[in-house]
Amino acid sequence: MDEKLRKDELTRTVKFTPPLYKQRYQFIKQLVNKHKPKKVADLGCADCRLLWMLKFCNCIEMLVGLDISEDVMKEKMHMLYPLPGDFLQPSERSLTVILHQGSVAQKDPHMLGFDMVTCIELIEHLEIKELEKFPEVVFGFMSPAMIIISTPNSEFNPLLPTVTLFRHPDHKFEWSRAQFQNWALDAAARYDYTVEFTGLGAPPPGKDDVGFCTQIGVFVRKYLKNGEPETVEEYKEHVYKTIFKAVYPSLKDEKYLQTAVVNEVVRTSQTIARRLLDKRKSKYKKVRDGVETDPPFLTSCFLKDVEDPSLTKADNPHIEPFINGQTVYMPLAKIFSVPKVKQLCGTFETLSKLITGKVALSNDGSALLIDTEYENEELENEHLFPSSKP
Amino acid sequence: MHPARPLFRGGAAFPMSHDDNVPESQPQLPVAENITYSRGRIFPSLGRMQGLQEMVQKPPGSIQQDSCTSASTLTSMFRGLGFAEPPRHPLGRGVLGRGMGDVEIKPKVELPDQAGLTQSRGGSAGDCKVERTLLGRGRVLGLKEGETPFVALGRSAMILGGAHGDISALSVGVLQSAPLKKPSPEVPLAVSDEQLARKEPLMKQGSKGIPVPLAMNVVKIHCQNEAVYQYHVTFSPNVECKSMRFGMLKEHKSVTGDVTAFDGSILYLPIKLPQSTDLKCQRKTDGVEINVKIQMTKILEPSSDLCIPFYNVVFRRVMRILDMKAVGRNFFDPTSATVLQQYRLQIWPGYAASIRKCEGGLFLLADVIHKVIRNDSVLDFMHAIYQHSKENFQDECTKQLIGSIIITRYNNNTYRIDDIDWNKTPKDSFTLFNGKEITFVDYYSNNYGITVRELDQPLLIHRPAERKNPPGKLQKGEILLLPELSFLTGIPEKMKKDFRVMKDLSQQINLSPKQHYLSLSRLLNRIEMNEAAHNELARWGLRLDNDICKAKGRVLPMERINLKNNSFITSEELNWTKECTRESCISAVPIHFWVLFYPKRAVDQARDLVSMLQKISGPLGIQLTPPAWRELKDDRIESYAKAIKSVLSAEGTVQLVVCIITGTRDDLYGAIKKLCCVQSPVPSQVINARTITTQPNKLRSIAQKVLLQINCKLGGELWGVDIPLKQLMVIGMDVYHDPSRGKRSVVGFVASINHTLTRWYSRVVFQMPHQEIIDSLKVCLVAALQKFHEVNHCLPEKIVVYRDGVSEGQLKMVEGYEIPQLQKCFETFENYDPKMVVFVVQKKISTNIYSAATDHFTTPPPGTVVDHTVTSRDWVDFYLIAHHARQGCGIPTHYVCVRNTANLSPDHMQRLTFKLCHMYWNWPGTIRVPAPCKYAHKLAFLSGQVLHHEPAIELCEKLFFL
Repeated sequence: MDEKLRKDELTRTVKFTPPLYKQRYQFIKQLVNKHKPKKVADLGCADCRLLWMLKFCNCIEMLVGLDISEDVMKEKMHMLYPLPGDFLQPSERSLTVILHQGSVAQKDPHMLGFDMVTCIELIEHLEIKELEKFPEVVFGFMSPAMIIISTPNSEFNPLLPTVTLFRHPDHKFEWSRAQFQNWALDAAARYDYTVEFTGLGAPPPGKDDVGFCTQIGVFVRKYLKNGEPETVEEYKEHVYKTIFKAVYPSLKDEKYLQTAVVNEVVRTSQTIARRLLDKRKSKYKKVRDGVETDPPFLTSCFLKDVEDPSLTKADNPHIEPFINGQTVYMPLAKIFSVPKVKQLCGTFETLSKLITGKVALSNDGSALLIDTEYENEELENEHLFPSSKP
Repeated sequence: MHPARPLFRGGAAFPMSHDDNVPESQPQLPVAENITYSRGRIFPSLGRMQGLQEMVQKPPGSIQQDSCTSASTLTSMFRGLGFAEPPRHPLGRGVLGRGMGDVEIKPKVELPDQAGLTQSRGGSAGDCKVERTLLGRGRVLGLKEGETPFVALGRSAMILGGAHGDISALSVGVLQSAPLKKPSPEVPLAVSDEQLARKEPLMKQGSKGIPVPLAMNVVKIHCQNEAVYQYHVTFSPNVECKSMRFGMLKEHKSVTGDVTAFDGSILYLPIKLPQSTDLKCQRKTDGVEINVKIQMTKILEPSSDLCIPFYNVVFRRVMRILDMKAVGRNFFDPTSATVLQQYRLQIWPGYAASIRKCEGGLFLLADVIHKVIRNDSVLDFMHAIYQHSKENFQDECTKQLIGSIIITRYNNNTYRIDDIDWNKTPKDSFTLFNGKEITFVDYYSNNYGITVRELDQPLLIHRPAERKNPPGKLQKGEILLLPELSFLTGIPEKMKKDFRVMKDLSQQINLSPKQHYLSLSRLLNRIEMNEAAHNELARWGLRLDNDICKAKGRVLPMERINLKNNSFITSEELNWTKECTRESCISAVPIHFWVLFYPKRAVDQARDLVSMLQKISGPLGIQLTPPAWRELKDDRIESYAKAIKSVLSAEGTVQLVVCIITGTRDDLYGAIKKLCCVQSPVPSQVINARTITTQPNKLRSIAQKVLLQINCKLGGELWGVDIPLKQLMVIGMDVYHDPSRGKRSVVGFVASINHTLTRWYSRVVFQMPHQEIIDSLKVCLVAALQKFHEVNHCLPEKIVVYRDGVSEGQLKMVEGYEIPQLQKCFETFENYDPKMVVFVVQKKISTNIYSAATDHFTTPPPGTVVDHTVTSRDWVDFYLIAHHARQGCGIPTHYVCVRNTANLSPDHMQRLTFKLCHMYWNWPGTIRVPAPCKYAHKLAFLSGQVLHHEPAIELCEKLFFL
């Protein structure tokens, strides 16, 4: 949200690098990387910037944003759509991003079962009545494993020359450290959480007593919930309005897994087949020319290709590929021995299942067939005939 | 008929199902149109000649009398009433004129353009940020207007409620389902006062030929608002920061409403505010109170040019709402991708859509396109290259990658690969905006959660275009990209040469008109069904018509092809292979002394070829004596070069060099051509032994084509068409751009030097980047005029230029700068002031034309011309499909006349152009562009791609480059 930016414009006289709002997001990101939550919600997600950063965290499978203002979310929400690249190389994890319009003072079953809920610079925008309901909704109802709440530390304000009352006109209050901690400890005690306090934006030297510019409470639920969260009957009704939903392509989806497997299988077998043919050709060439040229010096990853063990090692002669006439027979067992294929498929059966119908297989289905006629074929001479296009 | 036919013509021919023409099926058509339907059935070929409905060509300003062509009558009235607008620079698609040599497929395959990088990232809320480029213009207009600021207001009151929006809808012959409304005379009072000076309507409609019902891939946009209001917003004290200005305006949503388009100073709203509104804001940084003054500057017609840019922003948002993925400036649907595993390609269906203003009003131009993307990362691709050619791996990578467009895995950007840095790896560091150093590995890990797997890969270099930098100024910054995280887009060059791949690809990409229409309907339907999408448009009062635009076109009269002793009218398909291989061509150069080079192992093919050539030379009327045989011991380049050199230096009278080569060998081909076109000029013909062996049954037709081509190369003439214009010179021009940026581009220039347009003079000029093309053109033109005089003992009275290789944005430059410069050439000659007509030829356009003569749309017949509704408001222009499209949709060629001092009528222009499309001797049929353009293209391509040098001047009167 703009105001977050503006706040930082304000604090520029004290100068935080990187800007404080970025530090806050970075703080969350570090927590995510540490705790690996699968379901994360950002309450008061505003322009979705934090969500955008979090979508790159590979542990997260469900990312939800909630804000009272639909317009503010809509402004940048297109950044949360999957990118073209996500379709080319689907991720291994599944990811769904959802945005809801609604209030943190209302309970909606959409918000149940989260591992982490973040409320960055949110509570100070709440009216008294909303703030009263907040602990009950977030701690009591949503009851995620971890809650992060950040809010301005009013003790720091004297160091911000342009701030008269609050840092932003929409702020309903700004708390001192004691006020925030009291509120936080109270909520934690009531809903069975532990809380630790920290902050961002250290005060300038000599002013250490005012504390961090932003104060943060990290709440951790004391007990582990087993299984699905029990849905309270009366809150089955959805009060939030879903304004955005994006399901990312993922290898969990069989369609994309199949594409990825077939892609890898075809690539690997083409590579192996090419090598077989090269061997045959170079034998012929050596006989004809009597000389062999050394490959030139090359400093990069490509040299490894020459001795890629997964492609050349013959553990078991029965699974070695061979050429018969124009066709290279590539035993599936051989293909399955390639680490990447194995990793994608898990089992040999999955491999068979996924590639059946997508590639040419031998009659008994044990080997992949590669037609080498295509490889050998010379291209038509495009110079002889008019390339005119009517 | 054609063994090595370019791939996209391969495959199943598209039947022209005239038999399905049931007139009753479209009873709502006016009577006059029925002629069209009967043509195919009753007068299969005569129809065009006899059934020719002469429409009265109306003199400017007069009103047509013919009541039967009611549509035209209305048109002429409306045209008089039409609002002329100041010329504009079309936005959106500057795609034209990029890359050469792959014309075959490009029109349908989306090629990301550099400019696509700057795609607007406008949010989806109410306001759009109008791009800076149009700002300048907008503001200038605004200020001009500012001198008499509020005239508009008074007028607006009386105009609101007028049917101005409909006027543009009722353009020429548009068969909208809505009944034609006759506007009352008081209607055409412009809402806008921006266009007080009305422009004379352009005379661009011809009448020759047979009217046919057509449809186009454009959708009429109805403007339902009365006006768009333009305001000037001032901040006092001044606020420099643009984003702060946006913020301040947004604070006053209650005043401006949600729907805004604001660029920082010019504001467009669909609602009318008071003449002047004063608002107050507090600047957050220092608490100063800022006065925001919103003053109305203009009331615009909702289809005003000034609105088009933000309408396009709005439409991009609509596409995003439909969950289409933006790549470059187009939108695709990767969830419906087709994967061609064996070629490692994916094809994404999508649309290239933009809103533009044409003669007929506001339209959505929506082309059905496809994006071809490699399945593998660039790194995988490099591994594959390494497999194939270990020896010259780096060269091969450079060759295959440079110039390619990649998309990255982690953001939505496309980049052009300009170089490869073999010395850097992801372990190296670069400097972030904040001055910190970070390694690529860490950068991708921190920001995108991506673990770089291969730490030893080289890096790809992208050098951003020096858009705003003055030429010559040092480039700042290059962007380094990881091959592992990049994907190639487009069809790899190598595959373009592979018949099989292209055939498979074309099946996916070349959709029939019917499929096209389905796809377009689906898009319209999706917009209609999606409330958010269609609200997005409705906010600005825009409503898409529920079907694509149907309009009437004409099929130009068939042409007469003249051979030496015979002449004939072309067949329906416009192909005369039979005739030209059975009868004598106009003039044949006797071939008395020619040398045949062939490697020892191709001796059989050489014998077969020569005996067949001699067998068929008689009927073609070409004298052919046996060649001097030169057998080579192997097929190395040096063997050929040595043998050719020794023959050419010993014998001064060699007319022709023919080489049989084995396999496709670009290097050998290049070496032979360089030798014969540059060093020792002599016409040359290279033949792949394979084409002789693989199709023994087709050897006769192959030999016929070879011999005809040889005849052209020696200066013979194959066929002609009737050219009624006398003392005429036709010029074709095209530019070849080297794929690697910063290299020289090559201008091909071809000019006719006889009255039947069967003899051509050609020149090639290499020019450095940023060098004015005009300097080279002057040289060419003067030389061509001198040659013309030498041949005809007079200078041409009319010069018609077909200029290819010009982008949309350069039209004005061609008109305002190039042509006057060209005319200066005439001063070289005494008392010489010929008339000039200059056409800009645009092949890569997204407009498609379908024949609507049957229930299902089909490919329109060759000769179909459209010269209204979708044409430009600023130029005399027309769309012509000259070629017979066997597959895919009818993509017309767009001709924009930027100069016409010869006062050629639209009919003359269209027919001359069509005639010239018959004149390309490499193809016994019509082609997409006029022959001189195609010749210029071939010449520039050969010189730039193969010769890398200007061809020897001795060859300039021969079509040696065929």
